[in-house]
Amino acid sequence: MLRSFAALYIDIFRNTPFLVQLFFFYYGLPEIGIATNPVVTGTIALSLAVAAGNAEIIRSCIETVDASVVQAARSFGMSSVNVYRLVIVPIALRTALRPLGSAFVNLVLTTSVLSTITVNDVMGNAINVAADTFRPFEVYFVVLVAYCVMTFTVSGGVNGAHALLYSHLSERPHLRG
Amino acid sequence: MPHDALVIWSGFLWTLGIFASSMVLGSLIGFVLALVLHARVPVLAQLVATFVELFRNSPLLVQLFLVFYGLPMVTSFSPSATGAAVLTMTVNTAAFMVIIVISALDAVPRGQWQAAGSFGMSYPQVMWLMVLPQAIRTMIPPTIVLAIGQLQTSSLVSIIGVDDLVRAGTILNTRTLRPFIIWPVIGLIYFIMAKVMAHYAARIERRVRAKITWFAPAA
Repeated sequence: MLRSFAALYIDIFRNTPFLVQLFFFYYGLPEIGIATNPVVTGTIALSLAVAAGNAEIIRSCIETVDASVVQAARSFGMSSVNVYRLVIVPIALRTALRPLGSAFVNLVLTTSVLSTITVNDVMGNAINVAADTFRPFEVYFVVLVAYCVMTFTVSGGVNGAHALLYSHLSERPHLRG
Repeated sequence: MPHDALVIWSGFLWTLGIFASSMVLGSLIGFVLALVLHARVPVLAQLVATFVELFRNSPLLVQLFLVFYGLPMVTSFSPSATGAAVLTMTVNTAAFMVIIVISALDAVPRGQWQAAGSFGMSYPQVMWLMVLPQAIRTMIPPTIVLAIGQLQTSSLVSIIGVDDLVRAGTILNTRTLRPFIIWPVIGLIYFIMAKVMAHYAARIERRVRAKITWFAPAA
């Protein structure tokens, strides 16, 4: 039953636009009595939306762990919990690092949508600055490049982490004769 | 109540129209740009690479604001909200499409290029006769995944002022003040659209899979 709830949750949050989810939380939560400032509401909505995407990534990485490795672990008499803890999860998380990294990059870009509910992030402040200085082209172009810089930093970090985790597998050149 | 349904229906038609036109145009333009990038045309290839990196790593919202609010200030080109929305979504789709096409072209084994070279075939001949038929089959599933993603992000055009489905939801929300019902309904419509596309994607993928395997598929 827990599995079907998780499947439903992932399905709903992956197949609906983030803006609709955000508006649902921003306009709907005060109606049932939870009134918080926009930053907290936006963080909640973003966390729930990104959780669904990450769940899908990690699930597919867990399923593609090599079956022979799992069978070898089971043949040693390891309990199910131990097999999960010591064999499946480390391999799956290592495989999932790159897709999770690109999901993280997507997350950084999606935070710009929070500006629609009056959060003063980069995009929100850019709108204010553009309205103050009457130079929207320069402001938005600089913001575009700023997001690119942020993205490159994040993917550079992910590449570094990937190299660190897979350093035990790096090949040394074979020297012949 | 019937008027609410009319508002939602009109928003749905606008969303569908903007999404369909930007997806078709963006795919075609992205395909052409990817060919330019792959062929390493002297100046254009670097321009395409810069364009793809710029538009892939920035949020759609910033791109929308740049085109709708920024361009009229520096050029004499001032599109309407719908025009700016379609233009930006086309450009965004094209940027992602270039990545898909390039990876599909690179998925063709190198040995085929070498064999074609030993036969004396020129680059256009190799592309047209050998590589593209295989690459197009590989390209179709990621394109449909991209389409489902672009459907979700096309909801952002309502911030520019286009009367799409999310804007219909905002209008109804402001008038009836029942966000707990309205936003799930809007989300449900997007959900149904995404599920319909995913269903057709599965059918197309099964047919493509049947053509490139030498045995009869199990289902």
